Amino acid sequence: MWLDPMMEEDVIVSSRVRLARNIRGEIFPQRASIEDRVRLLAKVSPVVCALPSMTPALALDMDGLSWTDKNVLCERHLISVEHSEKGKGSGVVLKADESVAIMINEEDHLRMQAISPGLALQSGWQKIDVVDTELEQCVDYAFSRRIGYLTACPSNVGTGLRASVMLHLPALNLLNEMDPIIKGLTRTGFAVRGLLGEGTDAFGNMFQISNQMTLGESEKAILDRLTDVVLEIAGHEKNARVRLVEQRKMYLADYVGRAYGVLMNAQLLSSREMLDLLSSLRLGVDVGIIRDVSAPTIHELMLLTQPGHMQIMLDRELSPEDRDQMRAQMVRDRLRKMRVRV
Amino acid sequence: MADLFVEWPKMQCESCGEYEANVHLTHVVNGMTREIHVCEECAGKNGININGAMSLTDILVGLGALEEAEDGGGKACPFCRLTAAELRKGSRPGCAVCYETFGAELKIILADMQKGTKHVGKVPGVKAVVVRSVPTENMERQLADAVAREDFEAAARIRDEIRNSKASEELEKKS
Repeated sequence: MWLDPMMEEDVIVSSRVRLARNIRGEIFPQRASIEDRVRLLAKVSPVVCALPSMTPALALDMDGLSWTDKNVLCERHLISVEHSEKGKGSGVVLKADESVAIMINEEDHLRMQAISPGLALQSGWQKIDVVDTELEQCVDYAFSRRIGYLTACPSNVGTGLRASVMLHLPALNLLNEMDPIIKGLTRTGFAVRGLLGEGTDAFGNMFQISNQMTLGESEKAILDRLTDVVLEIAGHEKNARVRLVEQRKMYLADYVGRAYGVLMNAQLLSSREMLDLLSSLRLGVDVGIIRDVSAPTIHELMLLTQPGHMQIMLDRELSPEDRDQMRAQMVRDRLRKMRVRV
Repeated sequence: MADLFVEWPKMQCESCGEYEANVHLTHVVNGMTREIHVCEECAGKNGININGAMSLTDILVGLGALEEAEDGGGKACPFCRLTAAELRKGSRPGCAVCYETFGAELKIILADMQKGTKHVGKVPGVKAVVVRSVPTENMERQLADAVAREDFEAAARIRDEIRNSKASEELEKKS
């Protein structure tokens, strides 16, 4: 799971280390027939479940999952949005504690990832490295000594490693200082994406930073560079918050106050709007403008007000408008005691 | 661009012979790879723009190289049947064998997408060979039974198993 409700650290939200692997003698998923994919899933899923580092494991077939199930998995960052759109022939194996998730027949045969709250790239790599080493004993990976692990998309060839860190950067965004940072990151080989991954906007002031290239650098080098850049940007954000308080206090208080106003009074809230408002609230808590509500409460709300999580709480099927109404209700209930103090 | 061809030795331009060749092109025609080494001047004269943000794939398309490969009967991957045209369209190999079949084309696509050209990360280890260590008294009894039954094939198999088992135990003690 990526979100730790108890976490106080607000800027570096979560880390993910993902490896792409394929099996020799099998066509890549996009080109493979449905029969091939079903066969591969049936063969590989039990092998993955039996790995010592994955036990106890839970195997899921995308075909048997409901809309709610798939959304919940996405919201917990256990599967990608792309994988949630898959059906027969694709699956996922989860470690029971949700620290490791292995997607089968996504873009590659195997996409294994370790996710944890906070900055945890090194430990994430150690976890997934063990899983990978265990799995390579049981299957034959497609690998070339010259160019490394062979993947469906050449952008993953080599290490097959995509490491990313999710950062909450409301102050930098408020001060309009994200553009030069994003440009700098892109120039130095990092990709910047929104909360839901590829092709999404940065809503909720959340930015995902990941390595762009996978070939020609060792895993350690990739992770070290990413760690360095993340710490640097986290430093900028903290500095920006201080500057906001010292130089633009009213602007900041207004931003937070408006979020408070809407959250306490709105009757319909979309999940997207919710994330933006909760981001403002979290900033408010961090700088001391919002009182009597804890960061953990806000983090919990962030997850529980997502569509899948909301649906799972109730028996009857909810329409989007039902959810918007319930969301607004839930927020008013949970944040009732909240106060603003400029 | 020079970075991508660090491995090339110094040579003269194949076109004019006057200047040093610093534009190295891999030309794939009918499944055959030909290398062309020219200087910037001659490259420019032949319509190759090396100063713009053009990708190498574009350059070769400009040379008509990739198109020719398609016209010439089309190379296809023996495993997944991906054709050169399909690869050019989607930039995606269909299987691991494609990386061999379309080595030259993918080298170029990779050079575009990646910073490095050689893998320097983790390498899959040698597979552990599992030698089952079954209690040998049991196996020796089985061996005796097999011999009594005159099932010499089975006897030979069991004898080998006993040997392997003893050998691996010895190895374990030594290491």
